[in-house]
Amino acid sequence: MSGITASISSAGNALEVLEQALSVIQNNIDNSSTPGYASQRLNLEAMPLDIAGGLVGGLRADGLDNSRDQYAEEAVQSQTQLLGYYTAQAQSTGTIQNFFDVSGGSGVSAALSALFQSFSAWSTAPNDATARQNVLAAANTVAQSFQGLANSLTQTAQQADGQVGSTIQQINSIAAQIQQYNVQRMQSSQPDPGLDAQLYSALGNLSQLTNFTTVTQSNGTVTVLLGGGTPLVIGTQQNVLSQNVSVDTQPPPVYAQSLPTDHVLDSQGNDITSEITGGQLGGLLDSRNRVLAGILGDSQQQGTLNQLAQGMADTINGILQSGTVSAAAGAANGAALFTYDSNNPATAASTLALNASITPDQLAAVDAAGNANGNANALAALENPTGAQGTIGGLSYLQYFGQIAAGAGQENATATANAQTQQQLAAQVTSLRDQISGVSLDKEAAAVLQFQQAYQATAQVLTVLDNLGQDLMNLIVPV
Amino acid sequence: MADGPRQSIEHARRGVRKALQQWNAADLKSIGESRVLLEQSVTDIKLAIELLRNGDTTMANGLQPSIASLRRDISTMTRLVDACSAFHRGLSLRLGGALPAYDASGMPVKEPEIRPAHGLVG
Repeated sequence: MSGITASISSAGNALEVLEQALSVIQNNIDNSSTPGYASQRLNLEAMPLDIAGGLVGGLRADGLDNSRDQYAEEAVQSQTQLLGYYTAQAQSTGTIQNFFDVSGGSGVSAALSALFQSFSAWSTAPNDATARQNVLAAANTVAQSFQGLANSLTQTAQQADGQVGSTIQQINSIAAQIQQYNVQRMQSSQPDPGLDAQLYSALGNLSQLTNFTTVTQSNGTVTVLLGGGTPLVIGTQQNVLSQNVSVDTQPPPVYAQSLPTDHVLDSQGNDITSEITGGQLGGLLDSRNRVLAGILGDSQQQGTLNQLAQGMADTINGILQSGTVSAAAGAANGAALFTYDSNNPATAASTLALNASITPDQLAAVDAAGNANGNANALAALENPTGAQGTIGGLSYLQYFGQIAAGAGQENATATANAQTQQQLAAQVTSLRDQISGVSLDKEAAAVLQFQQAYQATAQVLTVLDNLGQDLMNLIVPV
Repeated sequence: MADGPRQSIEHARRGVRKALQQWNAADLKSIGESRVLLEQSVTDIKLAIELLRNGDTTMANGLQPSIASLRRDISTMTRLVDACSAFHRGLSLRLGGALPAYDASGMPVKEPEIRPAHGLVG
């Protein structure tokens, strides 16, 4: 080949390659706001130049490089999973918390206070018909308050079940997209940036919903494993998840008629609920199966609200039934003030009611020893008990309810604080991912070291601050 | 400079809050500025401790909520820095050619257990 021909050929070749490079750049610009898209770079290789030997030089395109960093992608997914978890937990526990009036001005707390006041008024006038009637009215309000709270919380549990169901549907839908990606990936010999962007966008959406890990196979397909290792997508196969809301049978239920538990099942019907510990689904399941179940009960626990309802009803009924309606010889024993479904203690709060057959005359003010207002006094004393009677775990009924309410509030406060912190963490890691995207990390090793040193220096100052903060607190609250 | 333990604690709290708000893990200059703010907060807290130790005991009244809030912000900032640190620790291990020993949250990496995939639909 002559020199001029070789030069023209080389220049033509170079133009062709540069046109490809421009096309890649244009593609990057067009997709700059495409979710999940990572910029591409065309590798250009100089060809040997030896005119005499027939080597015309010029440029050769040597494949596309992807700026995506798998480690950074996983870091963002990991933080997004936590953000989804805490956000769902905060919203869900916020709803639960709203049903508790910690001020004591309304609800169960106010009703209990009014009942104890009615006992107190009755103890000073044990034969007064109005005082007796007031006791019945206050007891009715207490029963309605317990029922109302239990029903509201049960409805919240049912709404959470609905949210869990729709989240599982979203997960299945995204898993189907990933499965389709794998099908297409297996059909093409080269990575497709557009397809790749769709995959990472889908994984980003999935990370908001549940915890998972991914493994890229040698054929380019992506395997998605749920937290515990159960596959969600393997190659062209999808494990379709489903929901089951039922009372646990393993271990055998202690409370067969309790609030059912929310379960996530794989396509074989295996219970994989315990593997879901992240994302929106993890947060919803935690609030539903742990926080709400702690209050309303499940197959293995009675629930704190039911414990309170049953304990209070049994104690008050026990006192009244041990006494008599008057001090006269042969006077009838008192009637129970409350009823509930004693066969199902895990429904005590929702079935608590004023004894439908009781009349004011059947209230027994006289205690077993014959004291005219002994029972009424004993009932009034339940507001601030001095012995074991009228307590649960050493707390009065009012204090115990306060503890349930405070527990719900604490759950919400913790979840809200975690969600706020996680919001910042997720934003930071996304920023770090974007920072390293498109640069050669091997060439940037020195910068990575610099950042590490900067973080370390900051962490040391924070350690000092933390210790000083502790010292400061110890100064005003001596340990 | 603040003139009482309450003012010193408030000053420290504002410093930590500002460091938290302006922290940008991808910008060395911003990291440096946050550290300066935190160092100023160290000075403020040391001053508050000194004033409380040597002053009237009534000076401590009502300080608990401010200190609790300050400690919450310190805790949040620590988590933030730890997460960024873990991220770069993972990066540097990868650059070093070694297998990553930590994941992005700083926990040791373990291979996921893969269960037999029965009943997969294709």
